[in-house]
Amino acid sequence: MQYVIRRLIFLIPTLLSMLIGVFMLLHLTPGDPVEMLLDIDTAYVPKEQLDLIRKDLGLDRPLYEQFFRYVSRVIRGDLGTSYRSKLPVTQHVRSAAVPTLHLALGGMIIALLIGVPAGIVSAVKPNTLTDYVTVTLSMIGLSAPTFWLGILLIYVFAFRLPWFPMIGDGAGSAISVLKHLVLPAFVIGVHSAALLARLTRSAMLEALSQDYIRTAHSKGLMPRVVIIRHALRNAAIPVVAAAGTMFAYSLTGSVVVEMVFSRRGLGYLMVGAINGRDFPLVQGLILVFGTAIVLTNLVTDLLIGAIDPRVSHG
Amino acid sequence: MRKSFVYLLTSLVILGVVLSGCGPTPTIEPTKAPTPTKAPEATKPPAPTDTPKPAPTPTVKTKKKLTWAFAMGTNCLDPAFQTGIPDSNNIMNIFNSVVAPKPGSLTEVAPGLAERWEVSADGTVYTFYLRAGVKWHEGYGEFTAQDVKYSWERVMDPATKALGTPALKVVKSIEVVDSRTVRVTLKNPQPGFLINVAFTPNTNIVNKRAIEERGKDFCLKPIGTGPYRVVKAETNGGVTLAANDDYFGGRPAIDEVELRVVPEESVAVLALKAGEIDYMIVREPANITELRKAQGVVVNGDDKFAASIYALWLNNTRKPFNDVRVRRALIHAIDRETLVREATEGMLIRVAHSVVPPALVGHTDDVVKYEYSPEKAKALLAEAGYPNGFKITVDSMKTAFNPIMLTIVQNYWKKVGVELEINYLDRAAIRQHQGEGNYDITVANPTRAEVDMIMDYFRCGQFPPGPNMALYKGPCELIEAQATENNPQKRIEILKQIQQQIAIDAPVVPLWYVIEVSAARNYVKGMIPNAGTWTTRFHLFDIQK
Repeated sequence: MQYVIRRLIFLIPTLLSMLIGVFMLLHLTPGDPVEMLLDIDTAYVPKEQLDLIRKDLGLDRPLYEQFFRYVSRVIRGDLGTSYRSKLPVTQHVRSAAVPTLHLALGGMIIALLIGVPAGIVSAVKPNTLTDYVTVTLSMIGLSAPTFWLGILLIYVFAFRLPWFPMIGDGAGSAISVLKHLVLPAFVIGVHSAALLARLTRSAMLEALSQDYIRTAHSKGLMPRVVIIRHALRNAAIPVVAAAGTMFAYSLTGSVVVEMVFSRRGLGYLMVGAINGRDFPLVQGLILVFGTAIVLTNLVTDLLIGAIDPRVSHG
Repeated sequence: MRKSFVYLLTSLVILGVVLSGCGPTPTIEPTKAPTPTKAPEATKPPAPTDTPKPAPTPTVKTKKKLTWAFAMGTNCLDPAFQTGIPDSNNIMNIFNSVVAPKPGSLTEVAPGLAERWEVSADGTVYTFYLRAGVKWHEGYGEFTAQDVKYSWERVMDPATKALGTPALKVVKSIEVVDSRTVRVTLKNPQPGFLINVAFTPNTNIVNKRAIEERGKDFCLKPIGTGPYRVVKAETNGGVTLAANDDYFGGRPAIDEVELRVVPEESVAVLALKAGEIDYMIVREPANITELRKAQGVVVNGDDKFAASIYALWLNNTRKPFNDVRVRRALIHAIDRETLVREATEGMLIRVAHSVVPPALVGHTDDVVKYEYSPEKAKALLAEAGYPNGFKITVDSMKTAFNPIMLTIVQNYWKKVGVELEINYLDRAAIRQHQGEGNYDITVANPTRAEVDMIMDYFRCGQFPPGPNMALYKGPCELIEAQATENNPQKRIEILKQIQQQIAIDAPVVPLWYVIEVSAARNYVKGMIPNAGTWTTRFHLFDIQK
């Protein structure tokens, strides 16, 4: 428990330094938020009105003051309001988090279901046809660009064969959400599955060559028991660590998939916020992403502790 | 064993907390206290409700629904705060202004909330005679002259912080003569006033009571008088409109119009081909070509309605562009006929010679034309003191026609010794550079319904941050004169002189007149080529399967 608290406390400096970085970057990047709001040349808007809008957004204050005001608000749990929509950032995040979480979970499930068994099979039968096929497929899965794969899947499974919808994240029924989820989750999942398969394969190969495996075999245990109970449990550690990182990645890095499949998730929100120079929204999203990554890593570490009794978080 | 169990349990708890924290929350609707749905002084028995009443759909007929796609979602449907194409487009269907765009014309307007109007002899006083019996959506009562005064003064008041008031900045005062007559006095005569009003989304008339009652929620739950009312609108997301049964122009043929956000245009193209959507705006040349080949799809776009001039804006205050010979040489160096054909993949688009687009008042083709001639270009460059050419940079966004156009231009210019470096930036960065006048060349295609607003791009008093991106000092007095010239014939004559002078001075490299290309399933009827994306008017459409 102490370990968890210590890790959570460590979250604060991490987030703060991230925030400083993002804040500086945003203000150094060319582009005026007011101009982006107007969608028209500022020349058409009276100066006094521009000043009012700027003042309203707090952009008339010195940079350090803007930063401290922001941080003090964040500490009170207020992420501010979006320049563009005038809605609280938390509200934006909450509604966009749903499709992204679905996507990340769906992708993870697909990755685990495909990647781990594939890795085991190819490790158990190294240098056979099965092994070569698995390794080649995982190579393709790894190198297929997300964008290309997304469009390809839409073309084949939504356009040529109208099995799945092309646009959106589905609303209302669970069936609709699932239908909208299959293709994008597959895109995310394939990439992770390829990585997991390779990782599982090498970890399993290493584990299978250990003495205790030979001992287990010579004790007369069934091969399946040796592979699952003895080898996989040891091989699982790097795999779980990698899967955790992948999950965090798909929470934050599924921008391309969300754009291709028109899912209004966090990545889509982020792109719009950056293009529109919607500073509070970008900063809020960075905070959420940072927290998500740190927490996912924490969960991963705890899981590893659960699997591997040698790891101690005392 | 017990220790590992504790770890597993803790991690599951944390995962649970994380997931529930950002997981599906019961309400995504604005968390603010629900605004009073019943007005205290409700004048009519059917009290306005936020939940749309089930439209009295005819049971025999199937519901006609049009789904269209755009790359951006909605933000705010309040005319004062709209930003971006999907908003302005929906606003033009939810609200009305006193006058409306006349279908298929950019030189005339049609009656809107005003049945007719009178203009004083000196062109400064407009009297609008308003329609009787126009009803606001959702039982918000009847439209009156007071609404016009309120709406326009609201947008003009700096305290409202409306996002831009280009059409109304000339207005001096608004006076309610009686409940059906409103008199608008301008600071100076402005012949383009009505066209500006018809095409500018923030001149649309809003309902005071609804704005006061709904506050911030008015953005997504607006009340208008237009052919469609809002059923559902989501921030960053889609909008669903339903036909207004009481629309003064008659109930629209299409019962429901839904905007769906599709950020990736090639996906929208597949969706249109598959019939998952019915209508879209197309930007990427390759997609236009693909849709023209597709079965069951009609592609619309007519050069006659071009309201946009696509040009390379040379910074006339910088070397080497401060020399008119260099500017002319750069135009001579490009085979624009081939450029247009290649870049637009054979669309019927004309090469631009004049800077005024063809659909606008006063356009003329009777200007100096710089034919393709690398020899002339080289001679002019040598004359100007650049026999070996020079190196310049262009700022551009990586969208629509820009990349292919710039690559072709780059090749043509290379042949006369001019080396072009292409600097791709995002929109915000481009706008900042444009505002500072900080570039050699910048790419833009201003789209305006009123010729005076195109003139802003060449006005002497409009150097950056104003829109005069070429930093060009040309026929200053003439440009001011046309803006206030009340006699239409005289104005056209002045505009002709201006266009001729600009062509001689060559402050920009005119490329072509951009048209708005839309595509639809072939059962969508009544489409009128768009002057600009923001003017798609769905009540003129029909679906005939």
